Amino acid sequence: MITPNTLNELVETVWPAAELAGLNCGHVHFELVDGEDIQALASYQGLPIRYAHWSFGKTFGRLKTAYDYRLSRIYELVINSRPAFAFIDRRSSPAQAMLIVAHVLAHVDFFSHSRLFADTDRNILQTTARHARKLAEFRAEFGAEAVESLIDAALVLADFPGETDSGWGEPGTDPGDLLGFVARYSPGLLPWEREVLLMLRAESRYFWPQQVSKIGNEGYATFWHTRLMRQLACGADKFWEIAAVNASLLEVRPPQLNPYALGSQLYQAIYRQQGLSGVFAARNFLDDAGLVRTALDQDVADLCQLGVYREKDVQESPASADLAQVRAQLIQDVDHGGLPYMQVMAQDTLATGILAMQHQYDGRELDFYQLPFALALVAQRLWGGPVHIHTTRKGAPRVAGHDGQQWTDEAS
Amino acid sequence: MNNSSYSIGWGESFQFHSVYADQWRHDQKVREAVKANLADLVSEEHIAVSDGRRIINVPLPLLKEFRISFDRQQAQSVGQAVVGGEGEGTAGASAPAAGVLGGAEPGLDVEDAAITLEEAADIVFERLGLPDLDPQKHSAGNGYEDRPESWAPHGLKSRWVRRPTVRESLKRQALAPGRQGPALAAGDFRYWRYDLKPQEEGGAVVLAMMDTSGSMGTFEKYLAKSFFFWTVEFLRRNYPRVEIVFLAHDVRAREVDEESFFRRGSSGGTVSSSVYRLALDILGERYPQDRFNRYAFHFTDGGNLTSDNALAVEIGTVLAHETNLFGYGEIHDTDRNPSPLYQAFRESEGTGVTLLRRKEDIFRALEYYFTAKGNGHDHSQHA
Repeated sequence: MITPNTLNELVETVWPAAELAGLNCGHVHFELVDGEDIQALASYQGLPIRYAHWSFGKTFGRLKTAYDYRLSRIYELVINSRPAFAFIDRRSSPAQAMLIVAHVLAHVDFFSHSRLFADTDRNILQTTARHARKLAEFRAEFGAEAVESLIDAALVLADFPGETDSGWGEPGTDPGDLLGFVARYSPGLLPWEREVLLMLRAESRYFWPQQVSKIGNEGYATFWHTRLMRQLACGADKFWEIAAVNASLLEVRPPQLNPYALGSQLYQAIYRQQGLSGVFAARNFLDDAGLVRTALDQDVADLCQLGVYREKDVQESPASADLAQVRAQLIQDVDHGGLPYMQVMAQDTLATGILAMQHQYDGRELDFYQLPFALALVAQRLWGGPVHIHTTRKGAPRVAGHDGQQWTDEAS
Repeated sequence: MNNSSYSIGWGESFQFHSVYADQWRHDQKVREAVKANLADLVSEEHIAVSDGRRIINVPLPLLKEFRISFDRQQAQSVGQAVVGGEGEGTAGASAPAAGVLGGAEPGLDVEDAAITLEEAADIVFERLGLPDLDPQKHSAGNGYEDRPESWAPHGLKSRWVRRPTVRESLKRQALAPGRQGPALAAGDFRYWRYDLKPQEEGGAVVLAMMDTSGSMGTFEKYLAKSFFFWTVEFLRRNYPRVEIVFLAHDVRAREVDEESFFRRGSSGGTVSSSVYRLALDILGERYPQDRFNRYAFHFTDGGNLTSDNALAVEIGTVLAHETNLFGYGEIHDTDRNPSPLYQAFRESEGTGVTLLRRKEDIFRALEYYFTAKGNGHDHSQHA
């Protein structure tokens, strides 16, 4: 249990050390919240005020169950806004909180220096609060059902808000911006519905850089809290607690990848080769794919026991542990946030009235089990007409589609 | 850089009540999904068969969030092993996603959600109730009710009870004679306290009669047992003090306990009149009409001994008169015609007849028999 006073002391201890080491955080606002509130925050993806949707409740239920059974615990959440917000579980012990503060400061430093986050919304808290208010108004005006079904369908395309490091493009101009394109060109949507899609697109674009820098972000923070704690930790009991938290963060549940463990090893490797300047350069320029490309070597792969696993395999042993293969596979895994590259075929779509999307096939097939349901939502609620995806399956080009009633899947 | 600063908050403005609304909406969608699958739920075999298991899986087609994503089943990805050698695999990490169907046809989504039998029962029984229940029959009653039973020193003003208050006042003044006090002190006041007490009216008895003759095949037995399983579960839940009498019959009828009722094998011929006669005897001896709401259900395959038909109809009609509802269910796995017994009961007053052909009909039968309000729902006219 920590109070603002304790936290104040801890920040006074950690902050100068962090600053001396070269971290630069601007203003950070710490909030001490209860365990349950931090679950709620996490189910809102960290943002305190979000629009109402059952999917948040679903996540909350899952997180809360995990927390109640002590399967997982969320110590902190950092929001990339100015000032940066950090939520800390007030039931942490002072020693735990010390590590958390160091971790938080490194996150904030990452947010304020990485090129990926240069264009994110500084006032995201106000933005999402405004969206929540707007959507509540729409619910009152047009009915909860209309708004909920619209959000259900829009979330299918919300994974594809377009490249964000090209700046705040007009919706629908970037071919990767499926949600913006639909918001702009869908024939049947009402003005308020387009507005909702653009709101979801804005939130999606805010989250996109975090999605492509999970390993980098957590690795960087872990790298720094380890360093800072080595400098600061005093006394055996405190050190023990800090080590326990650190160990729980780095715990590997095979065959899942732990971004804290892998990321910190990658940053350690960079530090060994290029010193702190290399670490800061990596922070400034690299997303996950870049980080893996730069820093993954045989040492890291051995340390983290990396291997290529097949989803179908039941046994725990990796199908391959060859460095080149692991490297190529890992880059593919983290590239583009682990999502397929989808592009809207704007000319075809505007000419035929069929929403046509091109999947850039890279050897991985789309999930044809989810696809009919996902496309049906888009066809029925968003486009109001047929929707096609051009993709490749079993080596042959295919067109999968849905016209609102019927699922089609043909060779092309 | 000197622009660094920080601030600390108590978190009092970050309490998230809205997430409970989202969670409620999610739970509501789960309930909707379960409701949409009620017929499947009720005919779920392992519920009725294995009673040790209290968790069932309900297919929930609504709640998966569908996305355009890579096919995880075929994919390979980079993972980690435990640092320091051969790791004990953690269960669950690599568990395959449930119920993915292959093929070109889009499969039905079956994201199974485990719900407890209690939750399922809540949803199944939401709309059900004992039909035509007369609340004025004086017997053990069918549940509990809040009744003013005792006095509490605190309470709502509207529950103030005068006589004990005055008594308390007198007691206080008698204990301290000579001391001048107010006529009514704050401590004197007494209020009704409501306690949960067993009801004393509206008792009911349900006679569960099952044909266990040799002609009852696996399917027929399964349907009959399922129906009675849910009936018993429903009564125990919503009418905890309703008495249930289990009768099994082939040529002769016997009263059996619950355990053996659900585990009976089958042999012998079918003489339905025997069980009706036993039912009438039991009702007459133990459950007089002026004190009990009486219900009787009989499930059979309809293969009654031809020579017994006339007698069975006669006694059955008497039974129908004696009870609030006499439900007669006939189970066929083929399309053969209903038996003469079925025809006769369909004509007669006060008898509800159902024909069960498929598993889904169990729920239909439940809904049909246990529609709490009479509201023009005439049991005798259902085909």
